[in-house]
Parts: sequence; structure tokens; C-alpha cells
Amino acid sequence: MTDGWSVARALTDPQSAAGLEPAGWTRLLSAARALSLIGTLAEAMADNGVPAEVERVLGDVRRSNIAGQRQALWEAECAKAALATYSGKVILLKGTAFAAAGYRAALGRSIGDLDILVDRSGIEQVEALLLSAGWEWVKPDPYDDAYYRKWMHELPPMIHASRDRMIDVHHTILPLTAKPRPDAAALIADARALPSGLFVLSPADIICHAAAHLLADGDLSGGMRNLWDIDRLVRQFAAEERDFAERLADRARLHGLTGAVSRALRLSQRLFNTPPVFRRKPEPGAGAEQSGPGIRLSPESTSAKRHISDALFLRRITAVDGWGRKTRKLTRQAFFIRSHALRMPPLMLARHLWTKWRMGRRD
Amino acid sequence: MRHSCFITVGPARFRIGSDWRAPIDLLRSLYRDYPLEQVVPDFTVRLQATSALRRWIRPAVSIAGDFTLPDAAPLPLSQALLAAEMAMNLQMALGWRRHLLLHASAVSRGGRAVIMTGVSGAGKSTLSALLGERGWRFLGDEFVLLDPDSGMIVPFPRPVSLKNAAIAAMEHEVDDDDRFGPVLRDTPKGTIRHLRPRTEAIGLMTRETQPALLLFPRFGEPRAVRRVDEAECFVRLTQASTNYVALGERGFDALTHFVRSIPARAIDYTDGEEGVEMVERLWSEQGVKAAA
Amino acid sequence: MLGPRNMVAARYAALPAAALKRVQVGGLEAIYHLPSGITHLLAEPVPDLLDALARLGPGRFADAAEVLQLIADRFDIEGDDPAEPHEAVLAERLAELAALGLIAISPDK
Repeated sequence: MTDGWSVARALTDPQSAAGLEPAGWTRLLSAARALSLIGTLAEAMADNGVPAEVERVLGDVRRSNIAGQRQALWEAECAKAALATYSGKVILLKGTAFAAAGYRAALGRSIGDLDILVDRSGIEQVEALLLSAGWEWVKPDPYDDAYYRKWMHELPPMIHASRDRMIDVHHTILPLTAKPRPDAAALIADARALPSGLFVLSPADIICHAAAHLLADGDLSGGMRNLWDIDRLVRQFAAEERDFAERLADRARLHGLTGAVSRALRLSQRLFNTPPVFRRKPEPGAGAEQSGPGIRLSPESTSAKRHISDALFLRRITAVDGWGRKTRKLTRQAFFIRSHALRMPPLMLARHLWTKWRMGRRD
Repeated sequence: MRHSCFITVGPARFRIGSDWRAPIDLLRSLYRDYPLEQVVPDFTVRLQATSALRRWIRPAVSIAGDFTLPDAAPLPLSQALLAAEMAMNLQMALGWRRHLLLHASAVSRGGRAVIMTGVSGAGKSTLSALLGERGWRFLGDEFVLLDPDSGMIVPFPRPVSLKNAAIAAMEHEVDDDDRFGPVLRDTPKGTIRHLRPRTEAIGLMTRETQPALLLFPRFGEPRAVRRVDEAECFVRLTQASTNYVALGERGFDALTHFVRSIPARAIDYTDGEEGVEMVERLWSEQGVKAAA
Repeated sequence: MLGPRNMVAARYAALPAAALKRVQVGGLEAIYHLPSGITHLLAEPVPDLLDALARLGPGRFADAAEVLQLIADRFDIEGDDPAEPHEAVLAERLAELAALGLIAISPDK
């Protein structure tokens, strides 16, 4: 079993890690870290006995994640406050969304930058409001970046000057140059309100989003973490949402993501034994698949080809070794690895010293 | 990875992998008095070739591991010891959570520690090395670990990383070439040579000690001493800490308690001897006050 | 962002006591804001503003004029610009504190 697979196994069956020798634990921890899943592993092991030297490491990871989630949720609050006069929905995406909505997928998950989705018509207003509330462009001259604005699905990245946290503002969930064209208006229309006034995508749309990015992020870094998200979300939604299977099939079709969603579910099932969402019937012939009562989630390729390409995906997703090395060069890493991490401003000196007025004590 | 070793420094356990044998041999020699047995490490560090070709031809070491900086430039293989040091520093700076990490040096005597903090080049590292040869227990030259629960200082007594002029000063002080690592020339930080702490200091690396005095030293300035108030200490120490934010409330509690309970002075000194004398005098004065 | 007239009319309240950890550090007050994990350093008289609101009780909203009353017996207020009403000056400080999340701002507009 490769180290990547052993991480998947440990998450699915924490007991299986019980008999690991120190060398085995060492490899497992390094591999989990490289897959951005060490926090998840720490949660999975929370009720299992582990050697003291392993508990040291996992304890630190848990502490880091708690602090990280608090910062991420606060950042969402700050964005909400900045966008108070914007009348459209402000929709949280990815890890911040899971945490804000209290989904089980948030447990142990490291959260990076803040990602939000707004309607394309509101993009300029949102940009202006953020800039006036203390965010700045990460790159110096984004206005020259006409291509970026025209073709990407998000604004160029912004960072808050004093909190030193980044925000990505999306107006759809895939680049406009990508082949599937998700229906952004439908995503926004179906988004669900949270008590705070922020929104999250509907459950079916969350799965579609995760599946879209599994395959759109070309080097598949974060692939296993993405699939774990999908596993956790699907289990929760299948149990708690009415007609989840139908909704998911409908939305996948609407967004042109049936291939992505079915592949994501197959891979997730292989890695984490995710219970099937759609009931499979035996195939009558090449290329056709019936699933569920009359629900057709038709893939583009034949069954055999699909198996081969699934195997290739799985190989890339699990390709990490006990030293934490990946075979593919990482272009983006988890939030705690960032080039400006070391110059975090640790505190805010409130500017109460005193340019406009003075207060004298009356003694 | 083909070659590897384990090194424990203070409370931190490292696993170091390397594409070449030489760095591991050098590390094993420099750290020969430290625990080197296999453990489940807190951090994994990888010294890896930037490409298959560059393993052999003008070999360059890329720093990798549990925590990395994406755009870090590789170093020539001859400077692998520096690469290893930087990699280990990075893991601590970005990943350590059990203690508040201060960018500082520390020595202690009679169970009371002096913590010296300041920007790189201000002299804290050399001063701690000197004091370590003058009857003080060396606790560390790069990181000081503050236990948030007990308020005690936890040693991190890695080999001292001496730079440029400090090398000659310490070679003069420590008349034993065996205590030094190889000379590394033309590094991004100038010339570097590592000094192994005394075996007693390494042997006591798990013993915590009480902080007694905080100093902000400045080398190469006319002699001066100035009180530093609590607020200034607090601000400067948060800037000197890489994990204050990550520690959250525990970090806040640890640091506010620290600055409120320890006296602080800024000291300027022209040379090592003067610096040593000033530290010893201030430490004695504090001891008298504390006893009174 | 609040305009000047809205700023004076806005109402503020202390957070629940558990949301802030306040420690005197030399001449400043260090505040750990639990919801965000951010540490703030505040100089006099800002901690007194926080105290004044805290004495009213968490969730009890007051506008700048009322806060002014609460601190007027302990502080003389001098603006650099004598024409600027004290309330407006105080209102700006309160708005800053609210923007940092150290006090609550009333949702009424």
C-alpha cells in the first residue's frame, strides 16, 4: 500500500492505524501533511489511542486548526461588514463555507484564503467596497490585467492591509475558458442563507463545485482533500436533505458537470467507501448507464475507458510518499505555507494617538 | 530519501532526509552529543536536489519539508549545513505550537535566565555564545521557548550559528577546533561557522528555567543602559515571535504575564567583553532586588 | 462606511465580557479579542470608553451623546478644531472601535 493510500485507509478506518510502528507513524504523518489532511487525521484519531509522541504532533495540529478556523470565520465577518451596503447575496465557498454552515466536512479541515461568490453584475461594487474597507491588490497593477478580468472567474486576488488575509471574489465557479459552463445565476439563486446574513451554496451545488475543482485544478494537488470533503458532504446531505440524489443529478446536468460529479463520486467511493448516491444497474451495453429510478447520469466514455482513467486519477491523487514528497510540483499549498507568513502583523495598534484631538484627564 | 538521520534539540524532534550522504555525515558530527535515535518526529525536513541532473552536476540543495517557503532559492551542496539549519528554523517558526517562540538568545545561571532579543546582527547570538563559555548555561542562540502554562523558559540549545567577525571572536574564546563545524564561505549570510555548545548545556536541554531578565542588546554602540517599559517590550516581543498569532489566547496570556513580571533593559555595548560585563552586572542587580 | 450624520446617530454597546481579555501592560491596555484572535493595544482614554459601555451592560446600546455623558465627569474633551462638536469626535472613535469588532454597533440605521 502506498503512503497516499495508507492515509485514505487511516481516515476511513482509524483503528487500522492502531498497530503502526514509529516508522509507520512517521510516514503516515508526513504523507497526511503533504496531502493537507493532517488536521483531518488528527480528528479521525481523536478517540483512538495513539503513542504519546504521535499525540504531541496531532495535538499541535488540532490547536493550529482551531485558531485557523476562528481567523477564517472572522475574516468572513469582516467581509460581510465591508459589503453591508451591497444588496446582492455574498456566498461563502469551500472550507470557510463548511465551517460557517457547521457541516461535518469542516472538522479538522485547514482553511486558507476567503473565497466568496457574488453575481457578476455586482463585481465592481463589491470591488470598490472592499478597497474602501482596507483591502488592497496583491499585485501592483491589476488594471492592466485585462485578460484576467475578462476571462477568469474571479477578481485578481486582494489582501487586507492590516489583517494580512487574502480574499478571492468569484462571479462563477470555473474559468470562463473552461469547457463546462456552470450556471452562475442558478448557483446564486439557490444559495442558502446563514443566520449571519452570509450565504452558502445549496448542498447539490456544493458537490458540483467541489467536483468541478477536483478536475479543474490541473495538478490535482489537494485532490485527496477535495475528495474527503466530498465524502463528508455527501454522507451528511444524503442523510439530511430530501431528494438529494435527484437534486444532485439535476444540478450536475444544469451545470454541465455530470462527468465531473460522477467521477468524483466514483473516486471518493474507491478511497473512502462513500455510500453510492445513485443506484447502479447492470449495463446493457457500451456507453450506457442507468442509475437510480429513471435518473440518467450519463458519462461520455465507455465503462472500460472510465475505469482506466479513474485508476490514473487515483494514482496521481495518492502519489505522495512517507517523506511527504509528491510527484507533481505544487503550485499552491495549504494556508500555513505562504511566502509572507513570517511577517504576520501580530497586533493592531489602534490609531488613537491622537492626530485630531486630545483628551485630558480631569483630576 | 536515500540518506537520513534524526536529531532532537530541546523539545523538538527532527527527521532529516537528504539526496546526498555528505550533509547527513556533517549533521551527525555537529550534533554528535544530541539525541540521535529514531523517534516519531515533530518535523520532517528534506534536503533535496533541485532536479535529477543537479544531484550530480553543480549540486544544489532545495529546502523542503513539512513547512516550506515556495520561492526559497537553493544553496550549493557545500552549504548544506546552512540549508539544514534554515530548514529546521523554518519548521519551528511556522509549525511549533507547544511554546511561544521568541526570536532571541538565552543563558541562565543559578536557575535564573537572561533573554536577549533584537534584530539579526544586533549581537544576541554571539553574546549568548560568549556567556556560555563564561560559566553560564547556554539555552539557545536563535529561539527562546516560553512555556505558556508555567511561564518557564525551555531550552533550544542548537549549535550556535556564528557569522563573519563573530567567528574569529569565538575561535579565540574556545580554543578547541573540535567544537566547531566546517567554515562555510560565500553564503547568502556571509561566512558561517557553527559552534557546538558545551556538553553540559546539551545534557541539560530538557531542564526548564525561570526567566529573570529581558535585554535588548545592540552591539557596536557606545555603552548605554535604558529601562524598557512593559508596553514597548510587549510590542517588540510580538514582532520577535513567529507564532504569537497562531497561539491565540495562550500566547496573549504568556506574553502579557512575561512582560509584566520580568524587568527589561536596552543595552548598547562596543565589544563582547563589555557586553558580557553589562549582562552580568544587570543580572546580579536583579538578583539582589528579587531577593530583597 | 457611515457618513458623519449617521455616525453621530449610530448606537454602540459593549460585547459580552467573555469576548475580550483586557490586561494593563505598562501605559497601554492589551486586549485579546476572542472572536477574531486579534490583539489590540489601546491607549487612554479608549479603555475608558470600553469601560463606560461595559458599565451600561452588554447589549445595552448608546449613542455618542450618551457615551459622552458617561465619560464627561472624568475627561475633558479638547479637539484640535474647536468648532468640531465633541460628539462628532467621540462618534468617530466609537465607529473605529466598532469596525475593529471591539464593540457592537446597532443594526438600526
